[in-house]
Amino acid sequence: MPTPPSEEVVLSWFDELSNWGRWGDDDRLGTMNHLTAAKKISSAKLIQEGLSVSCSWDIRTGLQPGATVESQRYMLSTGLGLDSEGRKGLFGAGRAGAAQEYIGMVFHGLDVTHLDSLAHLFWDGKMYNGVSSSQVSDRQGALVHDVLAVQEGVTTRGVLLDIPRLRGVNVLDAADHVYPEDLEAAEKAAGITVEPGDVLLVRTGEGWSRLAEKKSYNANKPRSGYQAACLPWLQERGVAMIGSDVAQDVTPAGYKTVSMPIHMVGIVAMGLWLIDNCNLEELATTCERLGRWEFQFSMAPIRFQGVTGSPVNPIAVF
Amino acid sequence: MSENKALVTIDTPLLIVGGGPAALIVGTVASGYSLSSLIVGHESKDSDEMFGLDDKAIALLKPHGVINVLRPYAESYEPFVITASLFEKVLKHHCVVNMNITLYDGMELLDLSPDGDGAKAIMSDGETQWLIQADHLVDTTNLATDPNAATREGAAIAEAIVAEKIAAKSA
Repeated sequence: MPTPPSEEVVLSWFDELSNWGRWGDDDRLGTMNHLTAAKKISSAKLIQEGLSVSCSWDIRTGLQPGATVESQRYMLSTGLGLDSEGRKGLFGAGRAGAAQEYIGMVFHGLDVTHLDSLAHLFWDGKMYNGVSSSQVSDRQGALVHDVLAVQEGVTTRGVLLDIPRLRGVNVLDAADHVYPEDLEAAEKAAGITVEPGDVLLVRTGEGWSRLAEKKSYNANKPRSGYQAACLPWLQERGVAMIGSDVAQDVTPAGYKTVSMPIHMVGIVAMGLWLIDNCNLEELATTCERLGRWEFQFSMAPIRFQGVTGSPVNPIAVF
Repeated sequence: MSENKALVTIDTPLLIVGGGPAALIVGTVASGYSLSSLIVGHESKDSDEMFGLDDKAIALLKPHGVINVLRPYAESYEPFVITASLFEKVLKHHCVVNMNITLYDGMELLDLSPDGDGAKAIMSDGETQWLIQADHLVDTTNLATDPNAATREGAAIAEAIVAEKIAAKSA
């Protein structure tokens, strides 16, 4: 059984795995620097079936399990009653109509599929590349490291490592954590190797629970995920982004001072981009059916100025 | 059974048990001083009873961002009136998303042994168990449940623990 790294070791990774200055003092891309033009071009070769799979959940209104606050939708105008006699205007029945709405949400949390920008987290008052946390303010939002850093979108090779498939279960137990050994076993089972510039998606089966338990699903509970021990492995492989059907980190992580080491060390020290709360169920089924666990990955974050991430709909194309 | 399934130890500076809004206040105020906590056994109660938050409670909660998150759920702003149930539910969500606070639904303590100022305990979701090791233990069972008194009492407890830690550090 793998031994979890001690808290002291995890804390040392803030320095040892740091990418600060690696791509220049003004770098805003972090691990996205691993994604080269050649990598994008080669990912096109993975489109062979003409089949697309969404890796996102629906964004719903009302208080959802794991949501920070309920997503809001306020209709400014609707089509309600426009087909009835009673809604005829002064000038007779209107032929043209329109619907529009205001939408508000907190996408960070355990519900919405979203991308964390490098402005999302701080450690010792700093963001990635040594930028002061004060660059994220109430008045102006994120002046540095907002989601616009990836405004050109993400197109690369995507890889799914399906850990429940390895274990022969639908969903990993909360205390069954994903270690580098599991990632390598899943690579071997899938016949692939995670390479620089890849988007790595790790399935824990949490989406299976979410679908099976429907309204009784409880997101606010201990869950499996990447154990902190994966951090050096992710750095060594040079992934551009990681994603999962949970919020990456095992919870509880068990450490006194760093409750989400994948988030903290990953975002702040490594400049690692995270896609939380993916829906990987249909993707896993498709990979199984086609017998391949690599595909072209594409994602276009919304160009929110000064925002610490974006709700996203990652697409796997086979 | 997976070979990676093991009893995980949760090492926390502060374990809060006993539930009620005071438990959430202790965690929130402690977090304001960068003190992490684990809250176990909290259940929100349904109640339509209205409360007007007094100036003291507002002053204690405001620096922690709580008034901002409560505002959309308030019946009125001046005076700040909210149902006891919404006060606790919204405050709980505020705790769940706080990186210094760990608070899960559906967890129980199977065993709790005070150990000096702290405690050792077992937390369970019915299937898996976690070993808890805490430097400080706060039991809010006998604290007030109305938002104003719970805020004052919870904040006082958190500030006393923080003061103790600061004193110990500088000694």
